Amino acid sequence: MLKPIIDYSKCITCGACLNACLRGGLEIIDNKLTFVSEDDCTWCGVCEDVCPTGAITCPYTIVAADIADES
Amino acid sequence: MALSDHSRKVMLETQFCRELDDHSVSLFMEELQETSYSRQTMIISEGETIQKLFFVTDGIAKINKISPDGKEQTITLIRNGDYFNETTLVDSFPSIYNVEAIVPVRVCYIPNESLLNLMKMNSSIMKATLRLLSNRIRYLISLVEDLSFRSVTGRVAKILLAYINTDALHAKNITQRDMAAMAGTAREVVSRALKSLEDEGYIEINHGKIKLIDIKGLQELVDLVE
Ligand code: SF4
Ligand code: SF4
Repeated sequence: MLKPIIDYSKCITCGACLNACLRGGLEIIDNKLTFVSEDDCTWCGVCEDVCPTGAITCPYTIVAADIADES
Repeated sequence: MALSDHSRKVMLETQFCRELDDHSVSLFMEELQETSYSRQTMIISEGETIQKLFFVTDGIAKINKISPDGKEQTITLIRNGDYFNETTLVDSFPSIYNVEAIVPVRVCYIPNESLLNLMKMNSSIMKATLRLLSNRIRYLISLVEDLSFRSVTGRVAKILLAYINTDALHAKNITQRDMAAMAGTAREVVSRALKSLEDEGYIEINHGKIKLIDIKGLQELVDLVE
């Protein structure tokens, strides 16, 4: 299951990302931001864009096709 | 001098004439004159002030500019029914581009003064002229958007090439927000640039992984904007 990366040390549970997520995949449960969608996160990056503290991210690893195919 | 049958036919098919009623078309056509240019002659040179609106009725001309380092940049090609030099209708500033015949070119033109008089007398000619000016503005805005988007795509391509991971154990990660900060644009624009690179087959995006399929092509995109 693909989820965005959440750094709880930076998250201030402001809720901006859950309002922005088009998938409706984020909720604050017991004062903790949680990815609850049954479907994979689409990695659209919208939550990353609205987060005021940089707590939620969708990072990419960039690989050349030949290296990717070997691994 | 009467227009040739060919030029008359092309002029009648232009959007400008198609918007006019028969009477207005005849008024307009009466003021048109025709001339031709041989291959590789300048119809208008940058800096020159020519008070006429031109329509190409045969052949192809190019609008170009010479950059300060002497490189020629073709802005657009103009063919049958296309018009040029419309900016001098509103002001008398010198031309900011060259127009050169790349094959033998035939044009119809109307002196600005005649067209301005017709506009005063005839509201449909005025509307058609305003439409012609607004079409050009719309085209130029889309060109600016396209050029700035192309330059962002080139900058994103450069970032992707700089961030290729060769060592799986110490993988470096990068977010769209990081890329936006590096490319000096908004994250949504990076997202669109990544999508367009994927659609054009340069990369494959699979959630957290961007696979660079066409490294040579990406490098060419970088070269285009540098
Ligand atoms: S990347 Fe998009 S789909 Fe995934 S959690 Fe963020 S906003 Fe939702
Ligand atoms: S926007 Fe950022 S700080 Fe606010 S709840 Fe989401 S991850 Fe936490």
